Amino acid sequence: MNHDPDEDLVRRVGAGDETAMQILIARKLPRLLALSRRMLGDKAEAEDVAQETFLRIWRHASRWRFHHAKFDSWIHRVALNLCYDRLRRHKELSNDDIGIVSDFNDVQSIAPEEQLSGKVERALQRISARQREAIVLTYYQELSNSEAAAVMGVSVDALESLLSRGRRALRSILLKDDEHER
Amino acid sequence: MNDSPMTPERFAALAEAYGAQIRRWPECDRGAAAAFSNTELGKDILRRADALDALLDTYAPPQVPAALRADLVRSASRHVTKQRRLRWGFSLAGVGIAGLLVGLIVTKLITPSDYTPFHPPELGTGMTAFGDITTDFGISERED
Repeated sequence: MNHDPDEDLVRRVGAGDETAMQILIARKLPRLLALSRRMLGDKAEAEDVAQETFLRIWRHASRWRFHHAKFDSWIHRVALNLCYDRLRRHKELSNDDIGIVSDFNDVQSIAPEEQLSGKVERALQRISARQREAIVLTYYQELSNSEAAAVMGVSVDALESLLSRGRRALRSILLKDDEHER
Repeated sequence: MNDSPMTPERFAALAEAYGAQIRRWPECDRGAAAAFSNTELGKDILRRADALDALLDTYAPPQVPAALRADLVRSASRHVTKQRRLRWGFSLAGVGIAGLLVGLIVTKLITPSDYTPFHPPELGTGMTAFGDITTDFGISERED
């Protein structure tokens, strides 16, 4: 396996170096928060997932085995598992398969670009979680297809299938929403 | 690197999966894809994919709240403090156990090999450190 770019930092975190921990927060938090927000469509839930992910990083950093997998792939997987826990919990609590409501409530007072962003957020919540995961990992997190497939535990072919179906579903939802508004 | 020429079907499938930007496509397909992208069909396929990409791009990543960052820094500090306390606790326990072991070893070493431990006499037998008092004083012969 190639050298892990996070190796030195994670070793220092495992040794209790608080400066290294702050650097790791700066390096990973924006991406983890973006991942969680796009998976869950909810600001508060996304922040909870980000926090919980870091608690697990602190606990496991001293035992991390670098030849096993890339650290970045591992934290993606941890965050995604935490997202799925929340999605399952919401599905159990909700009779309708509505998904998590985004906090774009008052459309009138929101700028057009924010409205569009909200539409995309809602559309993402309406496609299947696995398709959403594939799109978030490749399009937004910009993982390579092999990295994304490894995080998801699928083949590259399966990943491409999820991506295609996910993008088709999104296109259909967003175009339909567009037609309704005209 | 994939040397075979790009087919329209493969090009469309890649655009459908990865979007319009060839830099996001699998590395092995980029060379052939770049060549095909200059054809009219290639441009049409990319335009359609780009329309969805443009929408996806409007979904900006959230700003990291300062409070969240501060919470995480505090959690890191708490974790380090907790680990230090645990290590200190283990060190003290280790010293205690080591002391106990040394004590046991020393006791074993200084105890004579022919030593037999003292067993106190059973109650009511009259046996004392001075011997059996019942025979000396005739207690066992008393008929009270």
